[in-house]
Amino acid sequence: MFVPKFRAGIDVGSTTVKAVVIDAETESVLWKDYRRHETRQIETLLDFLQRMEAEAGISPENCRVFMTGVGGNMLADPIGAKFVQEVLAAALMVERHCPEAASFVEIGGQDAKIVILRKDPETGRIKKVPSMNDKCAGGTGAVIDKISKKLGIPLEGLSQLRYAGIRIHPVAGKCGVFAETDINSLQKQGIPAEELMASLFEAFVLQNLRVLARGHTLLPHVLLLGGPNAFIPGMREAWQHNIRIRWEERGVEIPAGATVEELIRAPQDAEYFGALGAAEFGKEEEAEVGHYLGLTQLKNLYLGRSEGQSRGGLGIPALVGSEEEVQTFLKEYAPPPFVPPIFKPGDTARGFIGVDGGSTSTKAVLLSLEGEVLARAYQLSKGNPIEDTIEILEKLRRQIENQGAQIEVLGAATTGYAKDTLRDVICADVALVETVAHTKSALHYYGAPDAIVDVGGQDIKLMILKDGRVKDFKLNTQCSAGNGYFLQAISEGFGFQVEQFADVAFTARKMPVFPYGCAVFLQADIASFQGQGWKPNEILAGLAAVLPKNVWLYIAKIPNLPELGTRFILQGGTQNNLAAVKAQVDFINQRFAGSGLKPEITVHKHAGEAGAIGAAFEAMTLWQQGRKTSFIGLDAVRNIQYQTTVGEETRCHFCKNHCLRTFIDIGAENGNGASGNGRRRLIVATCEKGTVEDLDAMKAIQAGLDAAREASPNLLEYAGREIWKYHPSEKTAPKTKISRQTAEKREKIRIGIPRVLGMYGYAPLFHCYFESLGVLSGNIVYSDFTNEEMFRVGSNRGSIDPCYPSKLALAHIHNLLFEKHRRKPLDCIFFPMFDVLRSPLNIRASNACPTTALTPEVVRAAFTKERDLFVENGVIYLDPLLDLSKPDLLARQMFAAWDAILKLSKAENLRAIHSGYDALDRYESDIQRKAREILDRLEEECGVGIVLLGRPYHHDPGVNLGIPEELQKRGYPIFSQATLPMDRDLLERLFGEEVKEGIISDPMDVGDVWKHTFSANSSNKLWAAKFTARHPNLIAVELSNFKCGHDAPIYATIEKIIETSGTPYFAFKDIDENKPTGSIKLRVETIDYFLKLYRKKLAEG
Amino acid sequence: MSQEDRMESALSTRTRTPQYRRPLERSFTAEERDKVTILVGGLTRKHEEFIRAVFQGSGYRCELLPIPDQESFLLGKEFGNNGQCSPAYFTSGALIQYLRRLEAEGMSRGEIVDNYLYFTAGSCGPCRFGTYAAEYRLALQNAGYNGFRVVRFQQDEGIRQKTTAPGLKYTIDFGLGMLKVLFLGDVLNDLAYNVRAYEVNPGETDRVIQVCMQDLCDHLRDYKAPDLFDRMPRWVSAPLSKNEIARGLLNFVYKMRHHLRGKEFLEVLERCCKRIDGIAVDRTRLRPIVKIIGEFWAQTTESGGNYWMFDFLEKEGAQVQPEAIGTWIAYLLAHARMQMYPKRGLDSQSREPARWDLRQRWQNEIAFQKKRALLAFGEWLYTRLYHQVIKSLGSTAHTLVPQMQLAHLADPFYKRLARGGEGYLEVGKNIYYHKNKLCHMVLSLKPFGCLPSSQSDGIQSAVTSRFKDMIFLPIETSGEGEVNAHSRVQMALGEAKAKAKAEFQEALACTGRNIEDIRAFAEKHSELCRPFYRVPHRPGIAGVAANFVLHVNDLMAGRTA
Repeated sequence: MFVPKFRAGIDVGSTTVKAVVIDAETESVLWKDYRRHETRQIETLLDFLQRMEAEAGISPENCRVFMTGVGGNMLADPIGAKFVQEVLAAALMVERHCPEAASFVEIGGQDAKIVILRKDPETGRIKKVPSMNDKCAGGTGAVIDKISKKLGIPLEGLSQLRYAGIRIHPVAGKCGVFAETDINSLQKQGIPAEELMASLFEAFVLQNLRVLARGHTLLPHVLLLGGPNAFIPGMREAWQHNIRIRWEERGVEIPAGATVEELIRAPQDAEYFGALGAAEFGKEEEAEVGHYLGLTQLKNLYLGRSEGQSRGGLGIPALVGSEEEVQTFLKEYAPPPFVPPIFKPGDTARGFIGVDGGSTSTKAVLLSLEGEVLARAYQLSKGNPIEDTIEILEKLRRQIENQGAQIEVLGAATTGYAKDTLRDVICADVALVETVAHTKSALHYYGAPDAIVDVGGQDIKLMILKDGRVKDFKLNTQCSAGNGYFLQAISEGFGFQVEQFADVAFTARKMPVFPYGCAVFLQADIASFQGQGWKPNEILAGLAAVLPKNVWLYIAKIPNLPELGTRFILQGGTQNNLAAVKAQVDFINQRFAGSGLKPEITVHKHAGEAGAIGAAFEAMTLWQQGRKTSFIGLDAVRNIQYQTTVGEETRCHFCKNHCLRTFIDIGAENGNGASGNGRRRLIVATCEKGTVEDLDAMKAIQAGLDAAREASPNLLEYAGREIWKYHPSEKTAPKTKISRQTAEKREKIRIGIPRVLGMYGYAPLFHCYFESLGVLSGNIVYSDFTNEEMFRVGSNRGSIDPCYPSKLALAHIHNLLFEKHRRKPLDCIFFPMFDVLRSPLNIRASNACPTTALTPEVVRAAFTKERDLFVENGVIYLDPLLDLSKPDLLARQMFAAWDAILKLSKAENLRAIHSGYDALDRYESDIQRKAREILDRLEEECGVGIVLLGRPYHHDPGVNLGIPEELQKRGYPIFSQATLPMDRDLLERLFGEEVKEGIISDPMDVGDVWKHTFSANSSNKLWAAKFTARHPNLIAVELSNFKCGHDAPIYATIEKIIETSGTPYFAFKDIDENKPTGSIKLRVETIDYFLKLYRKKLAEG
Repeated sequence: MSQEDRMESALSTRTRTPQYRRPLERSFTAEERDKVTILVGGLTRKHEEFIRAVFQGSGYRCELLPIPDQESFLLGKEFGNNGQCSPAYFTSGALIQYLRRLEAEGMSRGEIVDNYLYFTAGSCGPCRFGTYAAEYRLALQNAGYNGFRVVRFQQDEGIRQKTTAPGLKYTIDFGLGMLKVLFLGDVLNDLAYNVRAYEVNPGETDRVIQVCMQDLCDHLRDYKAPDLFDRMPRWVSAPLSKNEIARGLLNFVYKMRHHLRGKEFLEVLERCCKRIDGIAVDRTRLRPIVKIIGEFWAQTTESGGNYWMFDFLEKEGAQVQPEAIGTWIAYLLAHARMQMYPKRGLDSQSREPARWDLRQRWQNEIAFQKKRALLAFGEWLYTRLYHQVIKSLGSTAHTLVPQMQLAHLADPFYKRLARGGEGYLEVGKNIYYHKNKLCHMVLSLKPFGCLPSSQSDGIQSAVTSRFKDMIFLPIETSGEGEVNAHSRVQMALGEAKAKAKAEFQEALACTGRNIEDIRAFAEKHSELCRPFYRVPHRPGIAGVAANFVLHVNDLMAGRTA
């Protein structure tokens, strides 16, 4: 007979299992435990239940079970448990046991939740306003785990991590991959792990408060639930610090005598709230609900005798079908083991050293004069690239010296993320960009391949060649970053070293199908596949199968592989994982099926060290050209003493950004430096000016930069600076008589305008409109130029996560309201919604993007959600919907918006509109005139200019991430799609023939490349691409923001327009709020390398 | 000469530096009508089956795309651009799936390209939906079906559109057939969800609806409305025939009456009505009502495109209130009318005539009034016809909400003239259903990164702050992360269940009876267990069970509602 004596609550999360057993009569907790399941959910649950039976005495005769958590949904049925959604469970617990709580935050393994608890005065019901991250997950336990592991922090060390009093560095919080990219780059600068983790907590908390809180203020008391909140003091401190700031900003009253620590706290058993809540839920259910069935079905599931719930039975054949197949594959593709040449005592190994300081590992080789690898070494990065290099060169040295031989280094070169620092530390002859290094290596050993696929820890690089020359290259965007390391991390999560990955994956005979793309999404899918009963080996096989899809379909967008050729070289550290190789081979073969061609796939015999080998070849080339090496020597490397300093004393004060720098002091303090040249200091800084300490030296650098800028103007910067400086011309100034009172009112009125989005295209129109009506120019107040601090401080009221330019608007309005207005009051904030844009093109419609068009309404919602902050501050917020393509209609719309405030007459309003258009025309003409001069000069000098194919808001220096400047510094004039000259003679030269042939109706027609010309800026981008493709001195670099919905439909078209004409095309996609300096640099350097070749080709005619 | 033709002739003679040209689109000609199969997809299965029947009835070959699933999504993503919204991936993927199936059955790619085309809606608004046709073409080309035809039906040009495919001939019968499709698909969907949540015998609703579907498809395929001029004496028709406009208009009205109020149509509706009313329902079951809103495709599709959300909700014990395509059509008409007002008095180029140019001003005003009247009539007619179909099918399906009311409710938060996606609809509907207590929870489904719909969510955060008891959940449907999405829905649904339970218990308490008494009474009065029995909706009470309890209590007390 069933007597429900116990109630069990079990929370099967994505990384942990928590369980409690409660005495149904006394409601006391009899048993509880919390354990990481290391991705073995079923096994851990089974173990827990066995212990609960043995230790607490539960059985099918006496217990009801209630399950929650992401895995609970799948595993409830086999044990007869009733599933309770996790937020409901936690909320129930909070409601019953912490009635003072007004909100709680739960951080789980894969997701984060914020729940606002509001008592409905009418019904007395506690309304829960829950919010949970969507698939773009940043602030979650799994990311903390992954990054802490990368930083070498042991699990138990997490409970020691703090936030209070620790220096914070900028880290992107919106996505785990973005955060990892930032952490990587900061780690290479020598930032200590505890600062990186504190920065991560800050980033996560801010992201959750910005987006997950959906604009709500978390009122006291705030409970912090979930494992990370319970166990990591730094996480709790980050919440306390940032929530307190919001309370102060928003005037939240704190109960007298209470401290922030009391009001924002992790309650006792915070990690058990889900499990306790599930059990609590069961109290109200009928007696039979959740009747525990025992372990039989769960054991069957664990032993594979039954499939998991829902789609556990589905899947596809795994990487191999049998052990024989494994052996056949290995025979064909496993690279031969490296057999280093044998030296006799007294021999000298003469050669070149190549060091590859990658994102997750460091590699080094010693290359003979004949290009033979004499020694090689590979090690996972311990965080500090200098330390790694010292160790790895020592390993290299031992390989030779242990045989009694010695090494004579004729040259040395570095590559990889840390190449510049390492070059300076060991005084290498050259730092070679890794794309080039990898290509050189493959070309040396394998003649003329058609494609080189290099998969490293962080980056995927694909080089496409023709006749032994690189024709094109593709690099992953940060959105798919971390592929190699991702496989490693998951493997380790399952308890296997990455070296065992292939062996484990090859035991699978079926595997789940993972969608390709972002690693964060894959992580989420792993949890659900496990719940369906998939085993670790099957999941690892499934993950390996994702890699080629990411390379070819996501990054390269080349589904038709035979069009590239037949010879493929696979290299990079990840190709040491033969499961990844098998997946790649299968994918390539499958793509060749039916083509009549057979691919020839080769795994580089030094896959992991290919970059280092390429660097060594570069050193050899320099040596062959007669260059004497500057390398400090292996003895000196062994004795390198260095000290890394990051702190207030290293802060750069040469500009207002005040960036933190890293000082690396090489050599002993007494001046007896490792190189024998005394102590020297390397400065790792975010820009050139920061690389020196002395003001005069900085001035010299600045002068050099200024000269480079002068020689190669950057029209984005110019346009973004000049657009705010236009005033009405005399001929268009309105002449209407107005009353003195009205005139005075207009003179006094102060209007704030956010310097964001479409204003980068239309500011002169509005500035001159207002000025023409008598508003003083000085009273038209723009928000500050975008900067990181502004975004950090001002974007907290957001409730959605659109593209970065749209999110920036919140920060600009915040800047106007809380800085400009406080300094000197504003009367109005004018942030119009641009519905239709004007366009010089011959297109069907010139709509604005709906995201940008609707942003002003979203901003209004954010600032009026809890309290109307505009009303409270005495500011009128005006966001009229405007059609900029029709002056008469615009005049009506502006009249409707402003008449009540400015007391307008229709005639003067119309004249002011015309004055505005006149200014806009003048601005556009000025820019185009300048652009024409630059273009003419390029033609004369046979130079190369870069057209950045973006959108007008990419003129915003805060949005373009400084990419234009980085390119400009390398000697390329920069144009944008909005700054191309449109002189008739030029257009005739570029498009005239096609007009005559009838392909296009006029030079401004884009119908030959795109039919759906409804978006003004998309059409303009296409036109600029056509312009670039036809101009011999221009090449294209595409800029696109993450989530840009108007760019996505034309990605392929833009690329085809450029590439069909033989013009080089490069892209920076998925631009967002974080600035991945390392990957930007890699791309810029690679672009520069290829453009130098292109310029040479151009000069040769 | 069209640009297509000009490009074709120019390209054949070009020898200079190669420049990219978009692929030339092959047309669908009248001669191909008998051998080319039109593929249809992208709506609910009911709408699609009805559309197929209408196409077949008009002499076309027509087949349906498979219901999009995860595999479709992955295929669409593989061959399309990065960063597209999920409807584009799901649809192009389903298309490729279908074509690959044909290929597996032995058809060559050339034959497939020659003998099939895809028929889809188009748009020229600010949302990227207007560019989907290009995305489908790109994906098809990348998948090896170069030259496969994608034919667009411009939604804003309606049935009068000039198509690039002369093979598609828009007759009055075809147009009216499609109009019926929209009504029938919406109403039948609504009924199915309303009834299924309370059916006593599991699966009965689906079985009955399937029989009704067959009957309706037969009607749509076979019925041909008579031509007015064939039935008129020659002496009447001859003079009228001279005036093309009058002839067309009269014939249209005549045919419309036969199509929508004709004996054949009413009979088939009556048969369906009887069948559906035969399903046994138990209205005492506690079901939170979840109103679905969101982006057009994500809120409509019953597929992997929204994580099979409706199935999921029903399994979780909710009553789904789906959104009608009719609301979207009513929005298009109403929005077109609303957009006219700011331009009143301007000419067709949006130029303001001079103050003294009275003639031009008068002409502009006349043009405005004509267009306004036409659109207002269109709105009225569409709504009336829609509601007539509801009436003929038992009068219990949800009626169209007046657009002005929705726009008005949204006004403080969302400018009614702002365009893109669902415009003011999402905000307006959320407030409408909450304020009028017509549901317990509003679930907004939208594709990940949908431009206008994401922004609507930003605005909804202010709406939810204003209406304290509102349960609103936005879900982005990316094609990935189904478990996460379902978990979020469960989370909000838990709240909605609690709300529905509290409401039900309050209702029951105020009757002073227990639920067994109510059930016993209902069993004795079998009409109360029929789907088309109308339980009056009491202001302030959303749940079916709560309303039913109160109503039965009235009946037991001898009161009539």
